[in-house]
Amino acid sequence: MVTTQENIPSSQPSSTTDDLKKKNVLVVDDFSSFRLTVKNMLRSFNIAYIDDAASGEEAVEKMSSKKYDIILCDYNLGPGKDGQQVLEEARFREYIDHSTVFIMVTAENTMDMIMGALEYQPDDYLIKPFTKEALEKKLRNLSKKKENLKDIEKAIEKKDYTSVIDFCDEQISNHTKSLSDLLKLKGEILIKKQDYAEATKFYEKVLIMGNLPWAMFGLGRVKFITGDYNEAKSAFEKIISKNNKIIAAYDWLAKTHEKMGNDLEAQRVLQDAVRISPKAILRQRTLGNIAHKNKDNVTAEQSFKEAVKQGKHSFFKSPSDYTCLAKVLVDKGSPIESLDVLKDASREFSGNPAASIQISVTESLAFKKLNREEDAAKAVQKAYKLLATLPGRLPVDIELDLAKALFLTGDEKSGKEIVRHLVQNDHDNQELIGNVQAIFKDLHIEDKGREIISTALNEVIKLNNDGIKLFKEGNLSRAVNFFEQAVDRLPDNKTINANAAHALMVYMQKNGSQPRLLEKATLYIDRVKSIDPLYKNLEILTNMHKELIQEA
Amino acid sequence: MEDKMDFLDILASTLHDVKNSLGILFNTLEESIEQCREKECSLYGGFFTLQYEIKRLNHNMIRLLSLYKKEKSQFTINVDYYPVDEIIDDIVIQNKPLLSSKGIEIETDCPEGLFWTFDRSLVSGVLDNVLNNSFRYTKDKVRISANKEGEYLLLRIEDNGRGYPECMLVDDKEELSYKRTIDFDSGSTGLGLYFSMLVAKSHTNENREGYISILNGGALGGGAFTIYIP
Repeated sequence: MVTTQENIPSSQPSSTTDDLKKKNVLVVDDFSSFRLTVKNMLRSFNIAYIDDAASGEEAVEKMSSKKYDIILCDYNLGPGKDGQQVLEEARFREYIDHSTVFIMVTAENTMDMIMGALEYQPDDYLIKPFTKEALEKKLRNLSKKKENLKDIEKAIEKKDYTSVIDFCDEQISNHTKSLSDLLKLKGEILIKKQDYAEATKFYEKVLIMGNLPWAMFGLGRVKFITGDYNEAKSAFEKIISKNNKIIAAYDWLAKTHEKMGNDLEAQRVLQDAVRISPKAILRQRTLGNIAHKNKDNVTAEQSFKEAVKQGKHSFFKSPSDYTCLAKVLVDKGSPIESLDVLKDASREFSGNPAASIQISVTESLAFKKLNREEDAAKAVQKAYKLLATLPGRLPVDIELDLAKALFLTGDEKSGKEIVRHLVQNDHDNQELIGNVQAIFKDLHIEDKGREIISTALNEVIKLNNDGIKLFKEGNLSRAVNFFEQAVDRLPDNKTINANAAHALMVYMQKNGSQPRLLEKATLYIDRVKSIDPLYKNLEILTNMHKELIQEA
Repeated sequence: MEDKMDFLDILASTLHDVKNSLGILFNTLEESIEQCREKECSLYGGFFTLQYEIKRLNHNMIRLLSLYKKEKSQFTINVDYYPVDEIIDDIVIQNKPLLSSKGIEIETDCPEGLFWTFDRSLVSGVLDNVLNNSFRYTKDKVRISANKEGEYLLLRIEDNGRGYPECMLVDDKEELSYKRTIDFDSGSTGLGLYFSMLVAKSHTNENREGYISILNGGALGGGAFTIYIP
């Protein structure tokens, strides 16, 4: 096919500009002259709604109050947030969604300023300088692409993954221009659907077409999730050997090393990643944790300090960066400095009880180091009382810290209560049990700890087994009764909730559905889902539940 | 802080700065061209030569920055699977106003549904540069074509000008190293050629490496530049 391009004068707006006319556009650049140029270009496409922002902060602020269809954002925005951070924050806070066109503008010809961000990618890049024609074509293409993907987006929102895959397959076979996007999407959805065998096959097929880093990344993640750490490791290493700027591969490689028990290797990989891309609070935090675990207090202190610093302007700000830094400082023998950090934290997170608990617990460690036993005990008791006022529970590591501090300051009874609660709520979680054991070891009360753990465990296991026994003997109504009581006792235990839901639903399958029981089953299944969205029998339970609802 | 800054780093950050200025210059000029066209001002033709030179400078900055990165081992390629005709369309759109101003016709030829794995911005950069040059070197036609040849994707730009000078011709896949010296008399630094080779070579697939060829003759009888991507 040979076509001759006609010489259409480019100043005439083409008749197809109408589809851009109604779009809301935001232009982000720290140079006012550049904003003006781009705005003039946009006006020549008849776009009426054009806003601009001179900084990342201003951009996020504007996005929070208005929904934009198109965002043109420069990567380099001077001090403050850069373009990538603007994108991450906007996506994370859902100021923009799949229908928004986000274009990253860079002065660079290669993309390594973006550091191979695989997780939060803009829809496209524009390299400065660009002509009006190029911008118009890009906007038009991307808007069309979004339009084509509309059905898919809707199905994604409904979590109807089977339909998403059907849509993808249909469009892929139509030789669409956005083939690469659809292939990426299909892979992501297969992972979300937890169809790992199919995902593996899919990525391997894509990799035959070309050595695509995103496909290797997908394959590596599937191998990681399915516990095939050797394969995962080799996939992530392959990506890095081809392009050492793809930072996400470092993060996953580090995670893989950690799972394989190579904490030192994990730290080394993260240190490489931080060297290439230091401006990433989450990575600094992970590095801080692993370095602390490796007793490398120098690296840990440096990383947490960096995390605290970067957190000042980030929505990823977290009290744990302060408390972790404070802990490292206690460990390296600087409890006074540690208390200063915690004072800062109290100021930053005033009015946040969960943060106050973490801060008080860490204060007690610093007081302890200073031999101020009374202050240490007071701080821990303050945290324990605060815990009781909270409606829900706190993340496991925070509660474990509190339990440890209670034991340390002599309040064994309260400490034991927390441990018992944690163990009984997640009795199948070997990692948790291991962490609890490690704490008792630190406290030099290993034997006593083992006894506390096993008593707590035996109680749950017996409870669960008794219920299962009734169920297996066919004594359904008694099993239902039994599990309902068990759930009341341990409302946060996913196994008990799942088994209770199962017993209820089998009972209803036999004896017909009852609104009260169905409601309970729904509650139990929702709990399992929120405690562990990857729970192994969740799909079976959800399907049974669906059938019962249809019958009712 | 080290007490002595690396000269290369100073150079690179200056290049960045120059490149930003060029970007602003380019866009300001574009607006001026636009206004001129509306007012049918006579200066309007000359502006395109300016735009051509600015783009040339910009390409030079990009190449120098790429070489800097190569020197610092920061040069990496970022591949994905792209529809080839879209890349060609993009480059044509970028260059059309300039080439049309001199009455140069652009012809494209790309099989529909052809996809390939490559670094879009690097390969576009190479093609953009060659096409921009045809503003100066072709008579009135330029042709961009793409095709699959064996295990390679070939992207070719041909014109009906006088062709490349003898000393620039490259016609050997094995001629992988660039040995020519800078020729100050002709004004050619050879940087464009070196950069094209660098981009081609950094694309690898199994044991195959990309390469380029520069020949005379071709479909339109002038110069023919081809980049082969495995």
